[in-house]
Amino acid sequence: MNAIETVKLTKYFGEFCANKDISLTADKGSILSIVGENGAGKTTFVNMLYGLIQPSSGSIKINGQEACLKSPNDAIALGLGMVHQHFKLVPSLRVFENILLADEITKSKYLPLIDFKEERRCIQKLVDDYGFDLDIDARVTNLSVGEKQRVEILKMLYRDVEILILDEPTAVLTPQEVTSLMETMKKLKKMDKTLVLITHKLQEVMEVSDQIAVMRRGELVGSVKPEETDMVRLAQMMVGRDVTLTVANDRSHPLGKKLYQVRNLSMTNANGKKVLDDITFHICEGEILGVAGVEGNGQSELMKVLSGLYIPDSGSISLEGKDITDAWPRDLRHMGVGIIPEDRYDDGLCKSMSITANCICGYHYEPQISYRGFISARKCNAMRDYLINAYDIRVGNVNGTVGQLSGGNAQKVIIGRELDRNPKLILASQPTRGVDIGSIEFIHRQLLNKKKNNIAILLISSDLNEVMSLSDRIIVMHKGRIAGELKASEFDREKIGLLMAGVEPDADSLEEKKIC
Amino acid sequence: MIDVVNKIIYDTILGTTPILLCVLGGILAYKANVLNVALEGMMLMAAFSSCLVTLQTGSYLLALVAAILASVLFACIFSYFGISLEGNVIIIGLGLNLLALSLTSFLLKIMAKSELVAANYKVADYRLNIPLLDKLPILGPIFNNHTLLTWFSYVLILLMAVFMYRTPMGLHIRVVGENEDAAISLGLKTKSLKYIAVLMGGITCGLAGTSLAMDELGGIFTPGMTTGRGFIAIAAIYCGQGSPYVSALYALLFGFARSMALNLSIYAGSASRIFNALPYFIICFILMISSIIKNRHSHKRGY
Repeated sequence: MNAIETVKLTKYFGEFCANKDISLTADKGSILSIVGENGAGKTTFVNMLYGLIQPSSGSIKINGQEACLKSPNDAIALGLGMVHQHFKLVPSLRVFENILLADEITKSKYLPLIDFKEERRCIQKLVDDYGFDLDIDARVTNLSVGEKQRVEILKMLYRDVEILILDEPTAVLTPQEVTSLMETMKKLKKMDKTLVLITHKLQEVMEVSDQIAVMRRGELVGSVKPEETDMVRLAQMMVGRDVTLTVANDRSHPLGKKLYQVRNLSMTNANGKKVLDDITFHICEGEILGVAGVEGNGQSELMKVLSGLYIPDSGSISLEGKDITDAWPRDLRHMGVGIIPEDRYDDGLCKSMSITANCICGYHYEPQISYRGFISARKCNAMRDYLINAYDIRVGNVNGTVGQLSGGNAQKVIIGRELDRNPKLILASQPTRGVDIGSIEFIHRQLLNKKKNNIAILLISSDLNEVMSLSDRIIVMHKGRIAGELKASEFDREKIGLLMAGVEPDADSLEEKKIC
Repeated sequence: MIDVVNKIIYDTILGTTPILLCVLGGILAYKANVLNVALEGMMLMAAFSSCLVTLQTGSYLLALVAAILASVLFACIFSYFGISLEGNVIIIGLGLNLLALSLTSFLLKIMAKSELVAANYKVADYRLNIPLLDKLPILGPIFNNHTLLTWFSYVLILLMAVFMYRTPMGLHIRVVGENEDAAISLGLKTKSLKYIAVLMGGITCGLAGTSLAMDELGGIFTPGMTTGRGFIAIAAIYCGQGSPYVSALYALLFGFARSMALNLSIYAGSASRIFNALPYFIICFILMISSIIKNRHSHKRGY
C-alpha cells in the first residue's frame, strides 16, 4: 500500500515556481530518498507534506486517503512526523520535557499540574523500547548533535508516527553518528515505518534507500531504484550536466617555508566555557591545512579569533614572523590575509547593499578604489564588472543587491573579493556551505589554483569530504582542542571520525604512526 | 531610631507592592519574548480608573474591576499591534505610555481638576489588622496593617512560579519565547500564548495601579504618578532574567531604595529632592553592574 502519494503537487511563491507537478509515491515500510541541489525544491515539497505550507494545486494522499494538511497538527494526527535539519528543540529544557512538549502528562484532567514522575517513567520506557542510548534527565543544551537528533526522532516516535520525514539528517553528524543513524533508519523500517529522507549526500542515499527521487529546479527529473543507478549518474540527474564530484588536491606541489604560526591560542566564551584550548598549528606556503570537526567544537571561535573579530585570552598568531595577535580585520587584510567567513551574510556581505559595494567592502580605502577619502564610483563599477567576469558570478541585475543573488553566487562575490587581491594567506571557513554543486566545483578549483601560486590556506569545514580531498594536512578539533593531526598519507574517514568524536584512535593505529 | 528603621521596612513592603505586581505581570511577556514596555502606561490607566471609580461609587471592589479592565484594554491594544500586526513592541509600548499620560491628564482637564482625591475613601479601613501579629514587638509594626493587595502580591510570586514551571501552559509560554520554531512545529498556538502572557500581565498591572493609587497614596491620583515604576519593573525583570523569585528580589531592592528616599528626605532639609533621585540612581548602578557581569567574558572586539 502507498503510505504517501502526491498527485501533481505544485507550489508557487508569487511568480516563482518552487514545485511543479510533483507526483511521487512511497510504499509502506520503505525508505524514499529525495535528492537534489540546494534550491531544487526538496524542502518546499516536504514542508507541504508536513502542513507547514499549503500547495497551490495538486493533492496529497496519506495511506490512500486524500489529506488536507493545514498545519503540522493535521500531519501529526495522520501519523506524519518530521525531523528538521535545524533541530526544533528547547535547549533549556530536559530531554523528556522536550519529547513531551505540547503533550504534557498532567496529574489529572482537572488539575493542570505537570506530573514529572509519570513523564520520566513514560519516556524512559520509550527510550528502552527503541534501544536508544540517551539520558532523559540531561538538558538538551548539553547534548551532542547526534543525541539531539535522537531526541527529535523520539519526539516523533512518542507521537506514534507511521511516516517519518528526515530533512538533511546527516549534515552535522560525525561518520560514526551517520552509521548509527543508518542503523536506526533500518530498524524503524523493519518496524514497518515509512521514511522519507531528504539529502544531497549520495553515498547515504545509495546505502539505505528503496526508491530515489531526483529533483531539479522544482521539478521531478527522475525516480530510480538504487540498484539501477550509481552516484555519478545521480549527480548528473541532479545538476543536469556532467559534473566532477570531487576536485582533488594532487599534493605534488612542493611546500614552501613556514608562513603562518598559531601558538597556544585559548579563549573562554561569554558563559565561561573554554571554547579554544591551547590551539597550536602552522601553515606553510602552498599548503592547505584542513580543520575537521563536528560543528560547535571551537571552529567558529577559532575563525573569529584568526580573522580579528574576537580577542583571545592567551596565545599568539604570527604571519611571516611578524606578530599579528589582536590585529584588526582591516590590518589583516592590509597585510595580505584573505578572509572568507563562516556565515556569509553575517560577517562577509551586507545583504541589503549593492553588489558593487559588496565587491569593494573591506578594501574600500585602498588607492585603486578611493582617492583622498572619496570612493570612485567608476572604479567600483569597473571592479565589480571585472569580478563578475573573472569569477563567473551570475547576476540578474548588476545594480541589484547581494540579497537578490543565490547562495552560490553571493559566496562567489566573497571569493572573488578576497582572492583577487593576491593574499599571502587565505582563511576560509565553510567556503561551500549551502552552495550548489557547480559552484562548489568552481570554488574548490579557485582554492587549489591559489595553492599552486604558493599561497597558504586554512580550510575550516564540517564537510569531511571537502577537507579530505583538498587538504595537505588535517587537524581535527574536539571540544576546543586539537584532537589529532594527520598527514595526507594517513587520511582515513574512520580515524578522523573517531577523533571528531573525541575518541583516541586505538593503540594499534598509534603504533603504526610511531613506525612511520 | 528604631522607629525610622521600622518605617523604612514597612514602606519598603508597601512601596514594593506595585512594582512587584508589575514585575510578575511583565515576567510572562518577557518569557514569551514580547517585552512589555507599556507596563508604565497600563499601571497609570489602572491608577486613574480605580481612583475615579472610588470617587464615583465608593466601592473598592468596583475600583479594582475598573482598574483591571482599563489595564487589560491597554494590554489588548499592545497585543494587537505588537503580536497580531507584528509591529515593533518598543515603539508601541512607548506610544501607549505617552497615550496613558496624556489621556489621564486630558480627562482631569475636562473635569477641571489638577488631581483626583477620593475623599470618601479611608485607606485605614482596608489595612488588615492581624490579631496575634500586632502584639509582636518588632515584626508587628513591620508586617501588620498591610492591605490585602500587598499580601496577595507576595503570594503571587509563588503562584507565578507554579504557573510558569509546573503547568503545561506556563511551559508553553516559556517555549514560545525560547524557540518559537519548536513551538510552531509542535502545533502550539504561539500568538495565542503571547496574547495570554501579555493579558495576564494586564491583570496584574491593573492590581499594581490600584495598589499605587488606593493603598500607597490613600486614594489620590496625580498625573504621571507612576513616575517610572513600570520601567523599574522592566529593569527588575531583566536583572532577574525572568525568574519570579530573583526578579521579585530586585523589585524589593528598588522598593527599598524608594523607601529610603522617602524616609531620609525628611531629615535632609533643602537637599531632600536629591533623595528622590536615589532609586533611579540605584537602578542605573545595578543595570551597569549586571551588564558588566554578563559581558565579562565577551571577546568581541570593536566596541
